[in-house]
Amino acid sequence: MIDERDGGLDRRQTLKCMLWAGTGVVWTVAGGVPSSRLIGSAKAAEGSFSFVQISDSHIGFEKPANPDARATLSAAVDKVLATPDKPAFLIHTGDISHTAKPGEFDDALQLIGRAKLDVHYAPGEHDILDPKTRDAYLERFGKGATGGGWYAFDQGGVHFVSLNNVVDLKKNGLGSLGPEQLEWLEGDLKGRTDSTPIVIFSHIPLWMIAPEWGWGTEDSAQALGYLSRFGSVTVLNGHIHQLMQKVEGNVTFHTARSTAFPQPAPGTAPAPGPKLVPAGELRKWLGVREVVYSPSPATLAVTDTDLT
Amino acid sequence: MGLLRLLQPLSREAGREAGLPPRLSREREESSRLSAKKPGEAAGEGPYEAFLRRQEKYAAAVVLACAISAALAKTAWAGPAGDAARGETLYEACQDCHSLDKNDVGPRHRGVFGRKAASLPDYDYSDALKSANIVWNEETLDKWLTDPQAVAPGAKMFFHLDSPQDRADVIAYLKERAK
Repeated sequence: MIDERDGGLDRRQTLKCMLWAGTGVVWTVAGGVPSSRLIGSAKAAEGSFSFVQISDSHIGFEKPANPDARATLSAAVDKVLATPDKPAFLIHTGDISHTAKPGEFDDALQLIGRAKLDVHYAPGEHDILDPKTRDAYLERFGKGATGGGWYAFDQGGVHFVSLNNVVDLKKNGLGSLGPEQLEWLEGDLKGRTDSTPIVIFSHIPLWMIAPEWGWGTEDSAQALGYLSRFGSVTVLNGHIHQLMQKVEGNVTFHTARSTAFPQPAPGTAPAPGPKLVPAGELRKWLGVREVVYSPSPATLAVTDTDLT
Repeated sequence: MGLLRLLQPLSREAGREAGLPPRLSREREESSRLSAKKPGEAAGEGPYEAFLRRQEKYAAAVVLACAISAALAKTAWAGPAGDAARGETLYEACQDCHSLDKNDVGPRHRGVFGRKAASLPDYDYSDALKSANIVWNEETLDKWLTDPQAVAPGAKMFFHLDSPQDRADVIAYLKERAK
């Protein structure tokens, strides 16, 4: 599936990424018990497709941690363009802009548009700062979405759900979904067979990573309750600007790197926020994620690559 | 000086003013047995009277010290001393939402120390902060950085620093280097 080649994801880079980040693992769900194998042994199967996750592009951010977030988003799009098998679409898991200004969104969309792919967005708390910017976000990105901007779509037998957990922030900035969105999610999932692979994406992680830093979603347990009967659930988030993963029952959680700047790991700094890294090393801390779906048996192979 | 010292009965006169009977303490019984005058005792004054006079002077000094402390409390901060250089490094984290000279997700910080909260004309503050009636100094910034939602529920900011020293360092940076 991944060949030696120039640019993009070559085997060496993939191995490096796997070693560094612990990713590059294929999760196979059989009888409700996940097992893993290295991505190198995964083979493209008929009916498979891939998509790419980019996150936290923060267009408009221009401080020491990254004086040019536009250039690094552009480098991320170059990685997408270098993917050998054209992805079916992109997802962007929020903080598209840094301060929710129309010009920042314009620039982000222009840069991402170079990929010439459909893009499914979920908002970050930098995209929706107040009621005014919430309305502007929904006006621009919310066509076909429900209520506060949540929506679902299907691709190749996989059901995708985009959630908005950045509007009503809770203690320490924890995300929340709210009763209206949870009710919609329950209804959206009802009637789908247990064997339908589900991919859920939102900005703030749907698992409690560091509640003292607001890195979690207060009412995510209710959402995960609706998902517990499904054999394969993949949760993709942004917000924390670093790779983390967790498996809980049939659910695998992944957080993504930013394309703009890294943040510290929980417990290693007094607070979250932009992390200054040595000049020349920034792109090692940034990245994009490719997810390859194979239908039989249902597998989602997640590979993260940095922007060097 | 121990604070408990202020709670001792201060003088016989103070007792009289309060309608209390003259105190015949063990001290007095003992002091009345002493006949030799000591330095500081006025003519016709026994050791106990001299002791009371010293206590009264001491009491006056304490009252004066308290008055000075109360006056200084308006400007002095009893928290840890801040290190502005370390605060500048910590300020990196604040830059998710702030910078010194440009409004961002949060308002610009240059000149924030001593400024009334929600007073920049070109930043859209939350109603919560607009009605908070705060002037930013060591004490108010310390409370704000501990838990902004406790100071102004509904404010935009959730970022907080748990360590008093970290807060003091960031405040020192804002006070000294972000004028």
